[in-house]
Formats: sequence, structure tokens, C-alpha cells
Amino acid sequence: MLEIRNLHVTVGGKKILNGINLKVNAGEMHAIMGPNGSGKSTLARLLAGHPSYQVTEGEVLYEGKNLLEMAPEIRAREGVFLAFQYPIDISGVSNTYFLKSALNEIRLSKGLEELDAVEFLDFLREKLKIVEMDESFINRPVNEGFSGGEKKRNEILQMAVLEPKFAILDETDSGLDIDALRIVASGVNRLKRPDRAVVLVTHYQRLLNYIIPNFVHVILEGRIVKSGGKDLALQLEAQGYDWVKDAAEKAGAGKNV
Amino acid sequence: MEKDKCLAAYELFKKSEAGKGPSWLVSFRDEAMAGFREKNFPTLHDEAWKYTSLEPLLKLAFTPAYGKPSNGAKANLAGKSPGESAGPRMVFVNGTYVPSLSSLAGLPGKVKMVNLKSVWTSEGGLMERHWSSRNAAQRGIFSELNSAFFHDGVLLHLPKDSFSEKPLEVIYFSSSQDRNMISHPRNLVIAEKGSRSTVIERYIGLDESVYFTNAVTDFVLEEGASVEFYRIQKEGRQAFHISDTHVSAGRDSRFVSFNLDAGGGLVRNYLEVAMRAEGSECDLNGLYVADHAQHIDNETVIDHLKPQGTSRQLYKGILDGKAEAVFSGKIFVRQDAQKTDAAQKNKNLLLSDEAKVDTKPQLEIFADDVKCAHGAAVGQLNEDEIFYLRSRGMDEEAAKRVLTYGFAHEIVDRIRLEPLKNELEYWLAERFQNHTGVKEVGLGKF
Repeated sequence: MLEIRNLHVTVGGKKILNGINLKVNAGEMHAIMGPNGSGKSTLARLLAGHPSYQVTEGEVLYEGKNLLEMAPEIRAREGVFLAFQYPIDISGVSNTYFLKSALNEIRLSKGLEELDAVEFLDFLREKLKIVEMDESFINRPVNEGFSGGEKKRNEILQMAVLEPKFAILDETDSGLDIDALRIVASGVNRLKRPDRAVVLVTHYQRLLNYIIPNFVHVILEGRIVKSGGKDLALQLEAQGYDWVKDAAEKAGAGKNV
Repeated sequence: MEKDKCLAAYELFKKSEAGKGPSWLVSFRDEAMAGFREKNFPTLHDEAWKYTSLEPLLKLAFTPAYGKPSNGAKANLAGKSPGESAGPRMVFVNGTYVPSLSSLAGLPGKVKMVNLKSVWTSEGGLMERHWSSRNAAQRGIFSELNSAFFHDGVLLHLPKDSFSEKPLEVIYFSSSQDRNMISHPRNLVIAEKGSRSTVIERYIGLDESVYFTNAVTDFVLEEGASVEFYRIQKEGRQAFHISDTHVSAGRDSRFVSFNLDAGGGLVRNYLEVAMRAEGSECDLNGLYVADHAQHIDNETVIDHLKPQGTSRQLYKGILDGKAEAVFSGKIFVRQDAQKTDAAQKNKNLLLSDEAKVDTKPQLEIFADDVKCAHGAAVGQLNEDEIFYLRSRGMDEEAAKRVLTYGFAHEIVDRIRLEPLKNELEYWLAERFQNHTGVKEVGLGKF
């Protein structure tokens, strides 16, 4: 579904990604782990189409198409979804209105009819159950006054409403207590389908106890240096990132990675 | 608009049917004309008019509108229904009262809502008393012009402890037929002790003709009175609208207002609240939305004269195209006004490179135990917010529309009168051409 080939990315003149290679197939759950500053959030935001990033080399294919050429809204309509690390407050716009507008834009682009207020409300009520949120959230302005956990759950609610094919969760676990983590994870698991894929970007292994990945990749200094199964995450938890760094350096000495 | 021509027009007016009235009224008008003669039209050198040039207005000639409204204007009206607020309603066309379009059914108990012309004599004492007490600040040149030429308007008298559940609405429709028309709407609202009411004033252009609405409104709130005031200005795009609204707030009274400026080519509103006694409260809200070459200027003055007064103000503006807006918010806290609690904010959203806003908050504080805060902001749409919406499938234009709607909605959300709130939410959604939004207003919350 997604193929990243030798991706090099700069932000504000600074080189952040140094040749990322990654392949994600439908039905798979990938975790990308790395220390702060490794480039994992940059990768996530780049995939969603944030305008601040310059691609200096490489390509990204999504369902065989050039993703980098698509505007953010086109990527969304093609089924790409980013759960933000820092969701934005949108004052004056209720959650319902926001979600309905977004869903209808996507439906229109697929040649489907828009849902009216009543239809959408019924649809939304079902989705609220997935993230265990009550109706009081839907009339509040988007994210305004929401706690960190509520904001993250709201991201997953959006994911439930928009039903993306390819979801990237950018540090969705950061700042969450155990209960919120459990709810978020449960929501993500319930949205799993054989024709969908998820990439979890995370610093800590904790989330991966609840959302079991098929593949774990370690990103260091803008490069994926090691890939493995879910046990790799446990190893990182026990030993930190240094051992991977050392191993990568040793492997790199005398050989181009 | 030249002073000499106004003076000549006044002479003609006095001889006309519309210009006749009891002696107190004739003296009142003559005095106003004398005042007008002594004054000069403001220029850019006058501090209060620094950002608003009257040149486009002054270079045109206007014909007073008194007399019967032409059939043309009436024909236009058929098919225009004012908002559905289902309360008593008085309708004027080009300054003349039209009973057939009005409805005074449902006026509670002893509440009096009448057109001025019908009570020149019976309520003359009351009117003269209030209008003659207007001070120098209230007698600007346009206000004097109104006092000289007004030939009708509304008197709303709310007796002691009365409660008007339904909003009391006044609508001034305007349209020039063959010549540029000028009209002088005039309103006097007296809210006696303990009375509670909702008042709506609408100024609506029937077409894109050039005309000039020169309005004066006075509110008198006695002790414990509470008034919720909605002012909806939707004049034609070529119209001139100058208004003067004065509120005299008594002890423990409460005045809440919402002002919408959506129309007009050149608009200037002056709103002053004189908090004359202890414990009075006022909450002023405003929204101005302008594009193309509209110029909208709002000057407000909140004068805390006595202790324990509370005032709040939030005015927001959305400007596109080459529109210009001015906001000048003065707060006075006089020497006696200890324990005043005043806060004012003006926020502006510029949607184009050529839109412009001048915002000037001013505080003059003469007491020492007070709380006063003020802030002004001018900005554009936030890039991160736009990206967030785009990442959910909205294109850039749609994202900007939603964010702009959200910006305006903070003010619209404060409207307590549900039908009016729904009406304005609908208007807001349409204004920003939100196709998914328009159908749904009123069915669900925005």
C-alpha cells in the first residue's frame, strides 16, 4: 500500500530524514520507534502533506501513485489519515460540524451523497462508542478545553468517522494515563481491517502492549536502522536506543547502509 | 451634501405636511438646525474621524424622504420578510411608518410601542424632556441633522416591572427611487424601573441604490431595568449609514447589546453607554463583516461615572477584498467610579492582502481602585489550523471558510434570542458559502 524509497527531507534548511526506506502492506500494523529528534514525527507529518517539508530526494508511492504530488486534502480523500501529536484547537467550530464537513468532503470526492445532520448524528453516535466518548463532546468546539487524553481520543474518533485506509498515529500515546491509553488502543484495534494499514509512531513501548504490531522499525538520525517483529520493541524498552545505535555504527563502518 | 442646501431643504421641510407639529417640536427642530449651522462636517483632522473620510458622502446631494413611500419601494418589499422573531414589529420605509406592514399584536400589558408622529402631543413632554437633556457630545452634526429633519420614529415605553417576553422589533427599510434619498430614523426607548425587554433594530437596504440613513437612538434605563438590544445593519452596498446610539444606564441596570454590520458602503456607528449610577452592567458585542470596498467604522464609549460598574466588550471583524474597518473603543473611569470592572477586546481577521483595520482601544482612568483590561488583535488565518482541516479532506478554500465561520461564531454564539441566533448562523454560513453548512443550520448546533 505504501512504499517509501530513499526519502531525504529538509525542514527549514536542516536535514531531518536521511534516506528512509519502508514498505507497508494492507492489513499490517507497523511501529516506528526512536528517540527525540530522530525524525519520526517529521516522517508522519510529511506523509500527511505538511507544507513545511522539502523533499530533496526519493519518492513515496501510495497505492502505486506518487503521494508527494498530492495536496493534503487529496491524500485525505485517498484514505490517508494522520492522528496529530498536538491536535489543533479550532474555536467556534463544533466537533460535529467539523467532522460532518470533513466526511462530506470525502464522500463528495468519491461521488457519494452528503449525509445530512440527522443521518450524520446517527452515524456519529455509533462511532462515539468506539472511543467511549459521550455526546457532550460533539457540540464543543474542536479540541477547545479538551484534556490531552480527550484530544487524542478525539483524533481516534475522527479516524473512526473518516475510516481511512492508511492511518499514521503520531505519538498518540504521549501524555496519556493508563485508562486513556487503553481506550485509544482499543479504538485503534477495533478499526483494524484486512484492507487497512496503520503506522504507529511512538517513543515508548507501552502502547505496543495494547496495539500489537506486525513490524517494529527503529529510526535514528533520520534513517531506519533496524527492523524486526514485536519483540524488538521489548528489547528497546529493556535496553534503550543506545545498543541499536552502536550496532548500526558498527554495521555502517566500512559499508554503506 | 452642502450645509447651505441642507438649510434650504429645512425651510421646505417646515412648510410640508411632514414638517408640521406641536410648538415644542418646532422649537426643538429649529434649535437643532441652529446647532447644525454652527458645526462643520468632520474631516480627517478630527481625531474621532481620523480613519474615516466623509468625502464620498459629502460630494453627493441627497433628497429628504418624507412623504409617502413610493410604490416602487413597496413593491420591492413584497417577498421580503424580516426575520422570524414573531413579536410586535414596526416597519418603516424610507423613514415613513407603514402600519400595513407592521404588527403590534402581543404587546404585553401596559407596554407602549408607538410611532412618534402619532404621539407628538400626548407624549410631547416625555420626548422633549429626554431629547433636550442630550449633552454636547450627543449633538454631533449628524445628530443635529436628524433632530431637525426627523418626521417619525419609534417610542417604546416599558413600564415599571414589566416583562416583555417577545422581542420588540423596529425595521427601517430603505431604497432610493429616482434621487439619492436621505432618511432620519429616530428611536426612544424608556425602560422604567425593573422592566425587562429585548429590542431589535434592523436597517435593511431593499436594493443597491445610493441612499443615506442617519439614525439616532436613545435608551434610558432606570434602576434595575434590563434591556437586551440587537442591532442588525444590512444596508445596500452603496448606502451610507451613520448612527448615534446613546444609553443612559441607571442604578443596577443591565444593558446587553449585539451589533452586526454586514452591509453599507460607508458606515459609522457611535455607541455610548453612560453608566450613571452604582452597580450598572453593560456587555457590548459586535461583529462587522466587510469585503470589496466597504468601510465600517465603530466607535464606542463606555463611561463609568459611579462605583461598582461592570462593563464587557467584544467586537470582532472579518475583512476581505479591499475593505477597511475602524474600531475605536474608549473606556472612561471617572474619579467616583471606584471598584469599576471593565474589560474590552477587539479581534480582527484579515482574509486578503488589501483589507485593512485600524484599531484603537483607549482607557482614561481617573479612579484608583479599578480593574481594567483591554486588548486588540489583527491577524490572518492560522497555517496550522488550515493544515489540520486539509488533512481531514477539506480543500484550502473550504478550510478557510470553516475557520472564518468559527471566528465569527464566537460572537453569534452569544446571542440569547434563539430565533435570531439561528437566523444569523444561517446568514453566516451562507455568507461564507459553505454548502454543507447552509442546509443544516437550525437543525443542529454549529
